[in-house]
Amino acid sequence: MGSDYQYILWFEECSRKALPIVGGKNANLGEMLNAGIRVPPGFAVTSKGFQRYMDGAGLWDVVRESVAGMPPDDIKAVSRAGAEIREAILSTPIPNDIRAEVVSAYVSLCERCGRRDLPVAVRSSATAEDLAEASFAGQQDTYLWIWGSDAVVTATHQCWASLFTDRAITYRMKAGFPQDGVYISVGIQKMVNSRSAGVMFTLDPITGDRSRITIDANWGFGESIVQGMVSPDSFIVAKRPLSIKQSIIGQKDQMFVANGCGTMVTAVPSDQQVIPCISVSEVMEIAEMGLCIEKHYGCPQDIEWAIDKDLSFPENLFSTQSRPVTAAGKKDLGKEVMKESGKGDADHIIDLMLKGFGR
Amino acid sequence: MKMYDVVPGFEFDEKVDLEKSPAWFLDATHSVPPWTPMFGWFWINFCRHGMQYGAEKLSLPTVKGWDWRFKDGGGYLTLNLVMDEEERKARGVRFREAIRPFIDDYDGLWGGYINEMLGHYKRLKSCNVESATNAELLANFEDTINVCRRMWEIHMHMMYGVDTAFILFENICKDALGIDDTHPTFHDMLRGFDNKVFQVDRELWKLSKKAEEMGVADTILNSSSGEALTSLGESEAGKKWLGHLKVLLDEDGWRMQRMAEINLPAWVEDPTPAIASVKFFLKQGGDFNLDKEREGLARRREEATKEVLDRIPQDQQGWFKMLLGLAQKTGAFSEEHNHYLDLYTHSLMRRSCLAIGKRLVAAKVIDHPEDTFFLMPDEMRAVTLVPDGFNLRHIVDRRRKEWKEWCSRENPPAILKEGFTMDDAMGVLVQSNDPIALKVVVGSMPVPKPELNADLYGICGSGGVAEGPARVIMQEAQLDEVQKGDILVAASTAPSWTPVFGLLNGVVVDRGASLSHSAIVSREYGIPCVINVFEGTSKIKTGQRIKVDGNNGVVYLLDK
Repeated sequence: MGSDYQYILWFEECSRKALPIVGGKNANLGEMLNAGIRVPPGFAVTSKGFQRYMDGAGLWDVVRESVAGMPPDDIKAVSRAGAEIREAILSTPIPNDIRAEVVSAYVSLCERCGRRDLPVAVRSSATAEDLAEASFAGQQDTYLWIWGSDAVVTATHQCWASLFTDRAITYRMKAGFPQDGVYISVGIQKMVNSRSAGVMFTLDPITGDRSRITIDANWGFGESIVQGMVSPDSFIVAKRPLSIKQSIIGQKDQMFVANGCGTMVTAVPSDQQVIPCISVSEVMEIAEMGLCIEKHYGCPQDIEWAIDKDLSFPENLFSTQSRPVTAAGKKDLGKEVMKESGKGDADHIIDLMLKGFGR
Repeated sequence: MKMYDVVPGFEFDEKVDLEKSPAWFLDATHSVPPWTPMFGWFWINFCRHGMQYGAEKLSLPTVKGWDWRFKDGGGYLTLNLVMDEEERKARGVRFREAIRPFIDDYDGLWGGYINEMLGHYKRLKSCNVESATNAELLANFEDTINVCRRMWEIHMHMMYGVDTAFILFENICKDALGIDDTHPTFHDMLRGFDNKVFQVDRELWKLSKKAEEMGVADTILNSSSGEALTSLGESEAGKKWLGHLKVLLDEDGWRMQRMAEINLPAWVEDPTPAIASVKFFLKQGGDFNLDKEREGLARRREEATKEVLDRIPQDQQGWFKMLLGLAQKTGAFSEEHNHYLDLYTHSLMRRSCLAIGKRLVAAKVIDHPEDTFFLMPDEMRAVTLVPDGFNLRHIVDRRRKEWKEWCSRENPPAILKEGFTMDDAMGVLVQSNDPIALKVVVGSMPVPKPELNADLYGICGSGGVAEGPARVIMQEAQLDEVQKGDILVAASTAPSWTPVFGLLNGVVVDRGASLSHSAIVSREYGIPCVINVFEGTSKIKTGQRIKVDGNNGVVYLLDK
């Protein structure tokens, strides 16, 4: 894979050890891949590239000069400094060798996915070591639906510049981090060309039953599920042994599809509205992935997943996001069967039996 | 002599009985194929009595047991619902005290009943049927009738009690914890317990080891089960081994081949089924596999219990554990009561009938001892003391002819009043909240899951997935055909089939519920079992490769 590259690491190579040069987001993707959790393929432009670029062009001096003596709550000053730095960065071209590596890696990615001009997401991935957990999420830009070598390089360049958005500068000042001590890595990842997608909880979100997985699915991209636009296909899968316990096929009349620069809502063809949008083997594969992710993180997860048109099963099933399920989903023994304190155990059982006869 | 009804007073009378209740259900578990008249008389009278006794003794709020009728060899039942709200309330108050022994001292209650019944059996067996006078045989017959009545009282008192607890446990798991009775965790919490039926099987396994030591294993393996008895009798070692078998069967061989009938020999009379079990163990080799299974199951049970308890607040765990303990007893009871109650009593009913039958043959009243199965107790009473001059052949002939006719066609699954549908009838059953009806008659109906694209849809009796050649077995005599790795396909299974499970990869039965024999034993053997597929025995052919998916409750036919 990327052994010939100086500034590129494929996600598969982004281990925890690589965190300092690939940043939290990319390292996390690498970690998931290594744990057997499929994520859309891609690569990281490491912070070494960014560092060489900044050093070589003397851009750190611009940064230091722009922010020198600036009070953190002077919004106007921050805005002016940010604009200066970003302008300086964007007007300094990326060195040819770095550019060539990014282009070469992008072309390999296109080949791997069997598509020319593969649409990708280009995201920054902050590397400030002390900030391993203090996520920079949302503080740098993400560029979706980028395709073509030139556009990918441009977006990478913009990601670098986004390290100096007004918000990022303010954040670092308030948190006491130096403006010239942070580096940035960029992740370039295939945009899922979603045939079907949805969400999965590795527990029953209604009862909190941890022995089950629930999956909601619709055609196209997962936004329709997240936004609750359709009544999705929903599946309940028992974890051990893995088996489908319930399938309800919903009326799926709308879906999100790609339109080249994003997604848009469109009607689902009528013959597809009431047929399952994922097969039994896909349900099982999704559930299997859920188990894998839950095991990896050690607690129930809320996972967004998608099945990609460009690749073949099972390599086309991806986890696109995963977060721990919040405590809200942990309803255990229902209140209606709770014993009042002071009542005997046997008396309580008899009360419940009598209630049962009254059902 | 004039002929009377088969079960006087309880023959199905469409006009009268459909007025009493608009829906009567066939007890397909016990009365298919149709009963002989004598057995039908015992069942209709005393199962009916026992259910009403049990429901009254427990003062169940919603149901006063069942009413039964006899029709063409079939047992038809309906529920005695408590309709009045005040009456329900009053029954509920008494229920509170009546159910308590089950919770406070289950083992004492059941253990006491077992001792009582073993006492009755000992008394019945103490009658030497060869040397007794006719008067003593008749007294033994009357005693047997009383013992049968008492057996059903105990049977239904216990069964209503444990099933009430089991259903509560099921509902708590399902409604409050989201674990239904098709859920592996549910079964994991309940399995891995020993019971009397398994203990007898373990003794038979020991006899298989003994057969190897004594050098008679090949004799058993190389002859069909029918011939094995003769072949063993031809050698000294074989005779000695049969002696060991007799010791076991004198104690534990009072069981019938068919669960609810007396027209086939008991094990103690004809040890062929016991030898067949030994043969299964020899074919299989190795250790008594249930013991090995049980270790793993017990470990899984601990894990599953902990997993569930983790979701229950500390202050609620006491009653939950108590209820779980009671539910765990239910599986053992479901298996073990057959041994101590039905099968034991039925074998003594047969013994008593045949003993009198022999005297009647000698007095030329009938032609064969088995003809007594076509007589009624009143007729037995009329002729046993002084049989001289009686000829009951015309009664026997006519009833046997009728019985053969019953056997040649199928009894309808329900008899409904005009304008009353099966759905209405099912509604009444559900409304009764009758624990036995819910677990035995209604059960869980399979829900087709089109996305699985299976050939047969049933419900999960025991989890797991297995593939193998199907072995369709319609009666116990065919069990000999079972090979290691087969998937058993049957209408239902009975306790004497248990040892065969050790050879099986999976089980498919037409009818059953989560507390039926096939489901319980499959869980204990850790093999998949799909129940309530309805058409298994008619759609699957022996030798066909099938896949049993116990988790999803479906069956696939791999070569069609």
